[in-house]
Amino acid sequence: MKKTRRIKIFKEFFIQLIYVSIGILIIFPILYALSVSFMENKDVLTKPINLLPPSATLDNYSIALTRTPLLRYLLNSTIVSLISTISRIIMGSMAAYAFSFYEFRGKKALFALAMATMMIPPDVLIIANYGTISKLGLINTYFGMCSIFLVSANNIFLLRQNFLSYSTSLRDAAYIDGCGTIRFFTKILIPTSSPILFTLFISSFVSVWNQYVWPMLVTKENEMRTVQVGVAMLKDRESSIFAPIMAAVIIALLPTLIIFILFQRKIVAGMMDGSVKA
Amino acid sequence: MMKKRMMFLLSIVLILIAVTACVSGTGDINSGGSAAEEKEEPAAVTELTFWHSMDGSYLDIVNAQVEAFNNSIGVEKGIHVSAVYNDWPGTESLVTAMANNDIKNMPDVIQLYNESVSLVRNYERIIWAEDQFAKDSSSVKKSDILENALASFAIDGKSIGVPYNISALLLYYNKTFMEAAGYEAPPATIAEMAEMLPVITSKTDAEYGLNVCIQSFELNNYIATQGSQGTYFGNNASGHNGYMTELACADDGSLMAFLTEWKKVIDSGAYKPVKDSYNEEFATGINAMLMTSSSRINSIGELVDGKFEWGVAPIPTVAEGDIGGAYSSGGGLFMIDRDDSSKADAAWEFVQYMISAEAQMMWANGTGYVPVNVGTVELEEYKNITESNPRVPVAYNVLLGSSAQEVGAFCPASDSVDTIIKEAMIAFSQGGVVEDVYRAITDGSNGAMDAYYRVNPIE
Repeated sequence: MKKTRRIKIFKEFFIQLIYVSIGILIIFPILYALSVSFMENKDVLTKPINLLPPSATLDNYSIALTRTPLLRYLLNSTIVSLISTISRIIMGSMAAYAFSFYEFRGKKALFALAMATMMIPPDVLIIANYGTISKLGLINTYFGMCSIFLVSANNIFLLRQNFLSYSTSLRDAAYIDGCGTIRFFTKILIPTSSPILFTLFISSFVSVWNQYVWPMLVTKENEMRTVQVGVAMLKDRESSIFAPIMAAVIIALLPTLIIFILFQRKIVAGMMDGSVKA
Repeated sequence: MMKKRMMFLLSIVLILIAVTACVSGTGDINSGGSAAEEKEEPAAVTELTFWHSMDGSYLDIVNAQVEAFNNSIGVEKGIHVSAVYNDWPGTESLVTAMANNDIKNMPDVIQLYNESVSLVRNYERIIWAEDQFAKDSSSVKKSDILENALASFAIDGKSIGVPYNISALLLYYNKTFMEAAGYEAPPATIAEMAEMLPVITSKTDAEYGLNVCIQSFELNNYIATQGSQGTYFGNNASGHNGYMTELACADDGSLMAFLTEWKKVIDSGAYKPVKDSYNEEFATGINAMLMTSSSRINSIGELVDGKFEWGVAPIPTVAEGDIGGAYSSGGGLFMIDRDDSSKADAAWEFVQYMISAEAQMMWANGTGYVPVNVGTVELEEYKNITESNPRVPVAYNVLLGSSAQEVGAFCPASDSVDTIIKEAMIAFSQGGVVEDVYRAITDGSNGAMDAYYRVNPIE
């Protein structure tokens, strides 16, 4: 009995050790970036490599914040990402609702057309999209930056798949009880789909946050640039100055980290709600 | 309750959408639009937009130059310049604007590199610098600019743009290591260098005698610096007299001559052919010699920080009688006609300032860029810098001694050609044969140019 218990404890410890090691391996690049952000430049590329700063300094953060208006760029990125993400969730869920709960002529063709947009490489459309935004007078505006990110076919697909798991009899029962379309959508469907919605919120936010080319193309003023452009401004073509870049990267990482931490609990809570049967 | 929450959320979203659609970078409502729109300022001030691709510490210098202009000539002549960063090479935004004929959102002045001149050489809205130099009112004359630098931005003898941030390919060498190996001076020829490399690595702690990744920049330099007056990398004077459609160096023997000599460097066994962290590896003594742009002089100086003696010199020549030197590489300033003559005049005022002795002095003060204005070397400040750092004037003297024939190529499909050369030279360093490398570079580059002209035929 004692031997069995010892083996069990050892096994659990070993498994936990593997999990922790994998976790450290995955997070190591972020931790190293954090460490480099506090190093002096001459300590970054050395032989042997410095994992921790030999002499820590805040100069890199100072450079990152003074050489570029990084906080303004953070604000710009946050606005663009939030608007795009909220729009994607609203538009995606409404489209998915129609594709999963309704029957109408051309439904399959429309859905196929929506999905086909995923096959087109974004770079192919850049010049045409730029022309449209320019003619609409939306250069240097947040809406111009958000414009191509407001809807995602991928989100429509994932939400549709999620909504298809609901029985149509659930909707029929709701109708019989006097629940209208919008009420069913807002009071039953959306609350019960919170795990997928929060997951899509995080992935959309991060995806739009990391966009570089489009925000740079549709903005012609430094104040309207996004944080990714700000990070690019800190690099130096004539040398490998990594420390200020890592400082900017850490600053740029914070909002996405906060969003992830905030919504991670919602995903887990939503999963747990679904696991308890009435 | 839920309905109230939903209505509240929806109204927030609608307000956000409405506000952001209207708000521009100035934060003014209903002023959203292009950067070209005139802000509400007194009519006398001409607003200019200057697109550049200078990052890091170079961004600080560009901003200082623009600020100096705005606070001096700008005030005097009612001109205000806004500098906007575009990631190197700075052509993406320009190409999208050109493709859509979006004049409103184009810059008045843009910084472009040699590699990008092919994009704009036929663009009808480019205001040629040649015409501006010819004006009586022009304060800067062609004779004020380094001849080799001016030639680097000339087509058919006429300046399409003006040189702005120029550098030269140099040999950086660890003097301490060289003296330990018994050498007092850097090598004058490639053959001499190939003999030095194994001796240096055997007698010092250097892992490699030389580190350089030969790409189109380095190869172009090695072709341009051959012969008594220099040779051309591409036909039609490397695109400066007509269009470059093939490699001239493949036919005139200069490419073969370089590859034959470079084989000696590879066979020395002390050569590192790939680019990792150039600066750091030289500064930590891993590599005894390095070939790179003079623009890195200050960065390397900060990294070495007195740990050993080091210097810069012209790159070793292919053959003993070659002219040597380097071609002026880097960025130039180009003006765009946006259907506003006052902006065009103001743009030339701004460009003249940026190539003036005073503005070019700012490069010398923080970088290894070569001042394009010959008047800069007469300034007291420049003389003080060169006295305390004798490495600074080396690149200037190299370019001063280079002929107008030593120019960079206006090569179409420059990215593809660069990749072809890089891959061929790396294969060469891994045991390739001279003839195979010659064929790979020639056929690959000519093929890339043919493909480019199929899509962009010459009119």
